[in-house]
Amino acid sequence: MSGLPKRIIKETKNLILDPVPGMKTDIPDEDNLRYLSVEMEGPGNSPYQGGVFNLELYLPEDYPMEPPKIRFLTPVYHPNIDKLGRICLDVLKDHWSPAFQIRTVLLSIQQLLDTPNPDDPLLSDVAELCKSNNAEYCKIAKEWTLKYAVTKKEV
Amino acid sequence: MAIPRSFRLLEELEKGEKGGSQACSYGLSNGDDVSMTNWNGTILGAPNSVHANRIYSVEIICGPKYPDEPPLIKFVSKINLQCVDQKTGDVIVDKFTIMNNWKRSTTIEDCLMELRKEMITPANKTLAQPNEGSIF
Amino acid sequence: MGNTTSGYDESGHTSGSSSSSRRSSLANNQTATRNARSQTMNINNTVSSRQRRASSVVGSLLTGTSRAGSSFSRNYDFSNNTDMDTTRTGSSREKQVNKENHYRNLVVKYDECVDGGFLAPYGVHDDEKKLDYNDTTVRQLIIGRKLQPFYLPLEDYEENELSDEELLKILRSTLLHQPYPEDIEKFEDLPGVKNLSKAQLEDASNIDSYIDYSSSKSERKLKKSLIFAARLYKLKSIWQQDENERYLDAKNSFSANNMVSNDKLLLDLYRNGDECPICFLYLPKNFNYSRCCYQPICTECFVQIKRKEPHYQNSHDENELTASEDTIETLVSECAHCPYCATPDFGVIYEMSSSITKTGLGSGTLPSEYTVRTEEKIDSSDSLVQNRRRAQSIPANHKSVVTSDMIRPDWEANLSKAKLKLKKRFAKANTIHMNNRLISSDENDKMKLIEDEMIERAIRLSLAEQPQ
Repeated sequence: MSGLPKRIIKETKNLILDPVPGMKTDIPDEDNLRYLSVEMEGPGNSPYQGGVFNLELYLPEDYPMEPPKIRFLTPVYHPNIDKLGRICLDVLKDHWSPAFQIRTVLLSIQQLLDTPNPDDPLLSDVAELCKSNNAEYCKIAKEWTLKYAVTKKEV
Repeated sequence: MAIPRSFRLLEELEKGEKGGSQACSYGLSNGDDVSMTNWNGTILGAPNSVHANRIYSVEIICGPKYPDEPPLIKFVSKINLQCVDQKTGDVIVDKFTIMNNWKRSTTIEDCLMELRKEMITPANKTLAQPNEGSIF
Repeated sequence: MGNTTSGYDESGHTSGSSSSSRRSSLANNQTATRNARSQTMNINNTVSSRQRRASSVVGSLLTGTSRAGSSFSRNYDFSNNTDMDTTRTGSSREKQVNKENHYRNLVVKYDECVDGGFLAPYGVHDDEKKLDYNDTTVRQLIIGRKLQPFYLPLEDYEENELSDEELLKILRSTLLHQPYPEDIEKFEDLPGVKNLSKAQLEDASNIDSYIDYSSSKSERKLKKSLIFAARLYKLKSIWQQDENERYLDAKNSFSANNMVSNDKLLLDLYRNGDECPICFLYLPKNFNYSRCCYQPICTECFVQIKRKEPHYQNSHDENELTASEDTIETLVSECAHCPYCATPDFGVIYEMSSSITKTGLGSGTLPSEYTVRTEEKIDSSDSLVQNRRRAQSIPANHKSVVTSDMIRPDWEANLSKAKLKLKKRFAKANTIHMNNRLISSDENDKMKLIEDEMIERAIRLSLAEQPQ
């Protein structure tokens, strides 16, 4: 409302100048400095390795008292990420603390890609597969990563 | 620095998924639609009127400029209201105050609830209604 | 010198005849609140409307429900009323007065000064919903040096970058409160707000003249409360502007005998500042510290941390459709957790810097007459904060700890209210459900039955959201 809070300015500045490894943050719209875009590399040794996933992030009016809003724009096959890119992650909901930062959230999401939590799923079918036939789940996740998150090299 | 379209629609969707509210329901036509453009809604007919116990379905299109601009709303179920085009079922913005005086904070739910209120305005209350269940 | 501070009683409220007329009206309002409350309990002024209501099925069932829920009635002192509505109607004005007083107490006044800080927040977090703490309690705690006062925050501060003169210039030119955004969209088209004088805005009795009496009862009620909210929002900024002007006058008056902090005090405070880890703003270093993990937090951020809204214990999606009467009792209010280490029952301790002498309210010294920066205490063995560095966490019930619940003591009442609200919802939904069954019992039409189910669902949803 009355200008951008110091905290948001400082956090975004740090994210851009001193990025989290494997993550690129940007401000796509100069008129809305609360809206950020993120490119996240899939964690190594996971079915998402090699993929670059796009996310969008919005810092609501009452941030940091309320968590940032964030979703995947790139389709991800994952028990805790739904088809609209919504992420089921405790720190984005009940376990948010104003002492966390955007950086904390991004790292938690990357961590979630690495270690899915099929016991608290957003998509029960994916969770089921993840538990019963992990190899098959990994295979599909890898296919999706290749299909949606790997930019084809220009020929 | 207002909430961008996508997060605003996600908020509305979440509310709709949790059970929406007040005698109407709404949700995405296609749960995979990342752009969240096409929505379905139902409105329970206003009580104490010819609409009582009827259920109207509508289609809602939230264009790329939503919520800076109002959505398009079209009745699927036939209904006779002054703000509804009787050939197509489209809600006529000029004749529907809440969409005509559009505010960014107005939601899909607000529109549906306001349509429900339209049913019992003096101008509409006495209009003859098409058979229940007919569609545009 | 003592004169300036004697106008305040222990509760942190302005009192006494030395105050301006605005202030005494504030005190009057509080008396009015008390009167309104006692009247509410004694007068049944809506008997006729109650009887009318009781004639409907829903109404009578509801009355029955509120009797059945007598444990709630007792909690709220509703026991002498059979109909909840009586109390609600009577208390709406009382609520408004309380709210107005709350907003008045959120206005920063330069002469409500404690150790160079104030009794109301600067507005770092300007979401009104989260400023619903008990202002009387917080003011008391600040005057009693149990919480850090609300200091004016600095956006940028690099040690050694600013000369004393520059630092003072910034501090002196900072307003008491962050400017309020002018017009907000939700109040845009409301009548009875724009182009009114302060006196007109303050007079809630004229709101009725802006209400369209052809609209339905619930719409009128909604409109009234919206106008009231919009006015309060506008008034808050007018009141703050008045205070800013009083502050300016006091700064410009050459009398040293006032509640404006002198240069020495400001420099002693802000030359020893630090950043609050939550808002990232720069404040004097005498922060509050979490009782559990000894992390600093400024009062402006501390008052934002509160319990979550009541929610179901076991359900993680809180779907209204899966909720049933049996689940009401599982509705819980979860205590606030430490933002740093997640320890439950969040609480802080505050010890003002031992090197700064007390000034302002609750001290014998005017902030304009601050002279000494006392020597560092050599013996700090009685300091909780000092000891904390080596010891265990301090229990939430320790006398020096201010917990989140202490500044929002109404959480239990809110939980009971939430449960009561749910009970009423289910009672209503059941009645309507039964009525629909009766109507359709002689019809064999399957479609009709299916439709009923849908209607019922829709009605349940509708009730779920109905404003109380």
